[in-house]
Amino acid sequence: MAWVRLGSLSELETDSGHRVELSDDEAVALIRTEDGVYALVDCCTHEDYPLSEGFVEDGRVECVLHGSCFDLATGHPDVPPAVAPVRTFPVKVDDDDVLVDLPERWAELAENL
Amino acid sequence: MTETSIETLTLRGLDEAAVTAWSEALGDPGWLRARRLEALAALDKLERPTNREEAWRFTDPKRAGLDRHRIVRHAGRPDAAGAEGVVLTPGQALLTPGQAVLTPGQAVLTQGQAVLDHGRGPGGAAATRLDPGGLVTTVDGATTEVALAGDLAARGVILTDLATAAREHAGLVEPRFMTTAAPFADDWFLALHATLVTAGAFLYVPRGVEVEVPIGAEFRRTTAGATFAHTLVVVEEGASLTLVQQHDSPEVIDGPAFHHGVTELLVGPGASVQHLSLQEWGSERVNHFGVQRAEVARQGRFRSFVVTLGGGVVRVSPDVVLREGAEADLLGAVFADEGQKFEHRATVTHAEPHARSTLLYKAGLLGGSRNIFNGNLIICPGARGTDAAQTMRNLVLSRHAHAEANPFLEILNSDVKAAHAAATGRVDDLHLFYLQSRGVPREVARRLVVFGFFEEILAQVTVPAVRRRLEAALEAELAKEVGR
Amino acid sequence: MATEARDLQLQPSPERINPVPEDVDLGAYKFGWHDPVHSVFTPKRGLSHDVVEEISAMKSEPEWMRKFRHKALDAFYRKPMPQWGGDLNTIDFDNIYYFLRATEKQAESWEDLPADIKNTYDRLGIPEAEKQRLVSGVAAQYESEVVYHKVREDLEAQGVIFLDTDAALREREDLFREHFATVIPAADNKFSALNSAVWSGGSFIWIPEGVHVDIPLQAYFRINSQNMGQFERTLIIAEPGSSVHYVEGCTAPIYSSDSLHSAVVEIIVKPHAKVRYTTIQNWSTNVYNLVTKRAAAYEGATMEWIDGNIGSKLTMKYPAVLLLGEHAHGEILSVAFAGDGQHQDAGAKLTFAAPNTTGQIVSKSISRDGGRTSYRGLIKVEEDSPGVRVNVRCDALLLDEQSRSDTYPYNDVKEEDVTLGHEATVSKIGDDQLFYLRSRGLSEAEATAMIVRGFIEPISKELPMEYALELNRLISLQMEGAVG
Repeated sequence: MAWVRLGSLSELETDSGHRVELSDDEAVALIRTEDGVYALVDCCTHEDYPLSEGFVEDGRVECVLHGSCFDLATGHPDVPPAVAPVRTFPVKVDDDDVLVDLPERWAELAENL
Repeated sequence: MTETSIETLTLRGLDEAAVTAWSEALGDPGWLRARRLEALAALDKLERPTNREEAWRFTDPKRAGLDRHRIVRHAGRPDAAGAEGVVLTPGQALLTPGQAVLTPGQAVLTQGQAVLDHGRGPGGAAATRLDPGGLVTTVDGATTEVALAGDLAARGVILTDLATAAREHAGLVEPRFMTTAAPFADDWFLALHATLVTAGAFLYVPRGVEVEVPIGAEFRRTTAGATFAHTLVVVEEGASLTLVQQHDSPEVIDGPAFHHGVTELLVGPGASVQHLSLQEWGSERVNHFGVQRAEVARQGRFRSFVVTLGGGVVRVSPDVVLREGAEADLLGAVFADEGQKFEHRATVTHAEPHARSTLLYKAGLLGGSRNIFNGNLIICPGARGTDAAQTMRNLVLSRHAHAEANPFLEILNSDVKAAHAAATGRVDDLHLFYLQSRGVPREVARRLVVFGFFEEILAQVTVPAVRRRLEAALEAELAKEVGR
Repeated sequence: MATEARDLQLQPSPERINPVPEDVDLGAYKFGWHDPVHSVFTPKRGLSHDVVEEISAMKSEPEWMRKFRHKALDAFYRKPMPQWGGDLNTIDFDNIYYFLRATEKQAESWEDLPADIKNTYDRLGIPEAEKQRLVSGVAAQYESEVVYHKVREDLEAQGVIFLDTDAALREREDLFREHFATVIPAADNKFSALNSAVWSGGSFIWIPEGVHVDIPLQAYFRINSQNMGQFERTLIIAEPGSSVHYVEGCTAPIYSSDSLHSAVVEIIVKPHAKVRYTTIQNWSTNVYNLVTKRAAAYEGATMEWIDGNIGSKLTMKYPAVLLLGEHAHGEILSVAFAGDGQHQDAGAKLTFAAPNTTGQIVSKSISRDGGRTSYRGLIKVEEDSPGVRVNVRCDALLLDEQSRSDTYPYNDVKEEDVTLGHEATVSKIGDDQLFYLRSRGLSEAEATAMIVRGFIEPISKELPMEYALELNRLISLQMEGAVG
C-alpha cells in the first residue's frame, strides 16, 4: 500500500463524487461530505456503474442505477440489489492535498497520471 | 503504383478532407473512396455506443481505446519502429496477384514464421504448421504478403489483398463490400471500419470449384496503435472452401494495440464453407473486436470455428443468416487466463424455412478471467420447419473467475424445433475421484478432464494442423495452472 | 337490495369514504375496517410533489414516510424509461389518477363491463352474487362472511398480524419502519420509485416466530377500499421458523379502468422460515401491469413465488429471491398466457450470495393469436458462495404462426463451486399429439386445451384447488375462442 495524491480538496464539491481514472479498468471515487473525504473503488458491486455519479447523503452514496446505498466508511450496501461491499481506502487530507492509501499496483497507475 | 507517404490518423481528426487524403494514399479506386465518404456521413449521424447499451454491456466500447490510439498502417518489416510519426509507404512488399509462389503441399512462406506457428506452446513446428493453398499476411494494418498456389489460380480462384481487389476486381468486390453481410448504415463501429480500413484479403471461389487445401489469412500486430482490416470471401454456387484466419502477436509489444477485424462470408447456393478464426494474440496488450458475418444462401453449408486463447479484451461476434434449407454449425473453444476478458456473441438468424443450425461453445476459465457467451437465436416469421439448437458451457477452473452464459431466443414462428442449454460448473469431483483412484495424479487427472471437456469441439476440427495446435495451446494453458 | 348496494358503492360521499359498519350493506363494507380519511378528497389527474403531499397528508402519515415519498418522486423523475421489455412509451403519466378510491374506478354496473369479460363470467358459470363481487372489486360475499370471521379469530389467536398497509403504518409503525423498503429501495427502478411515491393499500403480514399458518391468506380477506389498488405496497415478514402461504388475484378477468398498475411486494424470510406467494393476474387488456417483487431469504429459509400471468396488455414482472444465508432456497414457478394484443414479459431472478444455497426456476409460456410471451431471467452467483446448485427450465408453446415467444436468460457466475443448468425449448402442438386425441373423440379445441393443461401441469399442481379448477376452465374457454 502506498499513499498517493489523487486530488485537491478545493476541487471537490461537498456531497458529490469525483471520479479518478487510473486505467481502463480501475477508477477511484473521491467523495467529500461534511465529515471528510472518502475513497472507494468507483464501481457498484451490483452492476458495472460508477458510484461517483451517485447521490450522497447521510454518510452513504446511492448508486444511480438501482438505489443500493453504500456506507462511505465501510463500503457495505444497506439495501439490495447490491449485496457485496465495495472496497474502501484510507484517506488523509494534508492542506489541499487529498492522499489515498492505495494497493501497490493502483498506486503505480496513479503515479502515471 | 505510386508511392505516397501518409500520416497516421486519429479519431478526432476524422473529417472529409482527412478521409479523402487517407483514401488517396491507399490508392483506392473511385468507388471505394465514395463508399468511405458515405460511411463517414453515416458515422456522423450515428451515436457512439456506450456500455449502457445492451449490445455493449459486457465489453465497454472504450476498450477499443479509439480516443487514445493512432490509427496505423505500417508497411515494411513488422519489426520496424514504434507508432508515433512513422511515415508510411503503401503498396510496399506486395506480391502481384496470380503469381505462383506455392505449389500445393509446399512449406509456407518467407515472412517470418509459417502462419500458425509463432512459437506459442510446445509441440513440433511441423505438426502444428499449416501448409495453405494460399496466404495473405497483414501486419499492423498493411498487407505484406500474398501468395496463391498456381493450380488454384488456374481454376479461377482469386486471392488478393484488399487494395488490389478493389482496383482489379471491382466488378466482384464493389457490389458486395459492406453492403450485404456487414452493412454500415446502422452500426457505428462498422461505419468507422468502412471509413478507415487499410488492408485485408479478398477471396473468390468460382462456381463448382472445390478448394481442398485450406487458405490462410494472418493478421499480426507488433506495435501499438489501432488497425482496421477486412476479409471479404465470396464462394459461388456449389463451390467449397476452408479459410483459416489467425490473429497473433509477439508476447511483448511496445504499447497497447487495438485490432478491428471484419470478415464477410457470402456462401452461395449449395456451397460449403468452413471458417476458422483463431485469436492467439501473444500479448494481453492487444484488444480485438472481431465481427464475422456469414450469409448462407439456400442449401448452403457453413461451419464456423472460433478459438480464443490470447489477447486482453477480445470480443468476437460470429453472426450467421440462413436462407432456405441452409445449414450452419458454430463451434467455439475458449480458454481464458488471468486478466483476460473475452466475449463471444453469436447471432444466428433463420430468415427462411427449413434451415438447420447448431451452436456449441465451450470455455475454460482460470482465476481472474472473464468469459461471456451470448447466443441469440432468431427465428423469423415464415421460417417454418426450423431446427435449431444452442449449447454453451463454461468450465470454471479456479476461484475468482467470472463466467456468463446468456442464450437468447426470439421465436416468431411456431413450426420450429428450437432448444438451448447453458451450463456453468467446475471440474466434476466424481470424475476426478475416479481417475485418482486409478492412480492418476490429481493435476494429470484435472488435465484429462479438461481435455475431455474440449474434446467434443476439437474432434470436429477438420484441419489436422489446427487441431494439433489447439491441443498444444490447451496443454500450455493447463501447464501454467499446475502449482497454483 | 342490490340496487342500494350499487348506489352506495358509486357516490363518493363522505359517508361512503368513511363507512360505519352498520350503514353498509352486506357484500360491501361489513367487515369493520375504518378508513383514516377525515375529509373529502377530490380526485385529480397528474403527478407532482403536491399530489404526493396530499396523499401523505390525507393518510396522516408520519414525517419519515412523507419524506420517503417525496424522495421517491425525485427518483422517479430522474430515472429514464426502460427501453427493453414491453413498449412503455405510450403511458401518459399526466393523465392518470394517482389516488382514488377503488370503487370510484370500477365499472358502475354489470352492463358497463366489456363484453368479453361478461362473457367469461357467464361461461365460467359464476353466480350472480359473485359477479357483483367481481364488479365492485370488493371481494367479500354473503356466504363467506362466516368463514371470514372464523379465519380472523384463528389468526388473532396465533398472534398473526394481517392488515392493509395503510393500517399497518398507523398501528404498527415501529415494526413497519424496521422492514419497509429494506428489500426494494425506492430508486430500484422507475416503477418502484413511482410506487414508493404514491403507494396506497396492499397487505402487511407479520408471522411470529415458529407459527405456521395453515390456510392460505387471501388478499380479499383484507377488506378495504384499496383492495384492487393500482399502487399497492405489500410487505410480508416471516419470523424465524414460521410459515405462510399468501394468495392474491383471481383467474376471472378483472376489469379496471386504470391503465397503469405498479405494485411493489417485499418479503423477508428470516432463518428457517418459509413463505409461498401465489399470484394469478387476469387484468383486462387495457392495463399496464408493472410489478417489482423481491424476497430476501436468510439461513435455511425457503421462498417460493408462483406467478400466473393471464391478463393485461403488458405485464413486466420478475419475481426475485436474494439468497443471503447459508442453505437458503428460492423457487419461482411462472406461467404466462398471451393472446391477441398481449405481451407478457415475465421472468425470475435468483441471486446467490451465500454458500450452499439452491434454487429452481420453471417457466411455462403459451402464445396464441399474435400474442407475445418473453421470459427474462437472471441467475447471479456472487463470489464466496461455494456449493450453489440451481436449475432453470423454460418452455414455450406457440399455438399458431402469428405468435411470438422470446427467452432472455442471463447467467452470471463468479464462483467456482457452482452447478448451474439452464434449458429452454420452444415448440408447437405436435400434429401427431392432436391426431391421437382427436381420434379419441375430442374436438380440436378440447384436444388443444388438454395439451395446454398438461404443458402447465408442473405449475398448476402447486396452485390452490379453486384456482387450478378455474384456470382449467379458463383454458378450455380460450381454446374454444369463446373468450377474447
